Amino acid sequence: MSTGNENKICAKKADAKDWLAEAAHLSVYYEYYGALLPEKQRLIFEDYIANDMSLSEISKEYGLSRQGVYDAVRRCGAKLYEYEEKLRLAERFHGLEEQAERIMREASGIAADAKERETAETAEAAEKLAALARELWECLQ
Amino acid sequence: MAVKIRLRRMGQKHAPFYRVIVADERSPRDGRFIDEIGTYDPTKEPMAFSVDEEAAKKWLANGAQPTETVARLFKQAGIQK
Repeated sequence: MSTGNENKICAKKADAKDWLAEAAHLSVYYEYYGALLPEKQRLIFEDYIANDMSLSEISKEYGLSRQGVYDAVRRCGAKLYEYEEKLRLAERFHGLEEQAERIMREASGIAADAKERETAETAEAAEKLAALARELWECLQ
Repeated sequence: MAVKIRLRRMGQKHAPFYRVIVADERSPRDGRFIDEIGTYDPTKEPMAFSVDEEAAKKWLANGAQPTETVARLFKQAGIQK
């Protein structure tokens, strides 16, 4: 079944400039949604994207045709794009991660400032805030 | 048995980060590798690719085959035509 996303995926390592950028996206999406893919396709996609195997190497490994592997890779890629389009988890988590980092930096700055001015209470509060932001950031990893 | 130069994904969820490894053709899945010769970080702008050029050339001269992706990275880095 066509999802309309398949055209977006070049899935050709030979077209490397686009492929490298695309592989980076897909590998992030795979981290979020890979578990939703059927087991067999997941393995194939992982070999292709994370282990940098070629279509023919994968086809030998699983006893499939090269075309079959190519189709599986495209289907997985299309699915991953579709999930991200609908759920935007990667985008949202990335945004949260950046914000958590900013809070950590700001709060650490305030804590350092307050220490210099010897306002211990503010320093302590800012340190607590920095620690909370750090916990949030760690949750997102 | 053929030896390959390929990428292997490391790094965290949002931050794909790859190692350039030299491995036996048949061992990409089990994680064994012979040598690690560089890293590639596509999240940097421009992307950051660093490789031990001497080691790369040595492996290439010894018949190690880069994957399509690695070959392109080598080409961009001026290691290989």
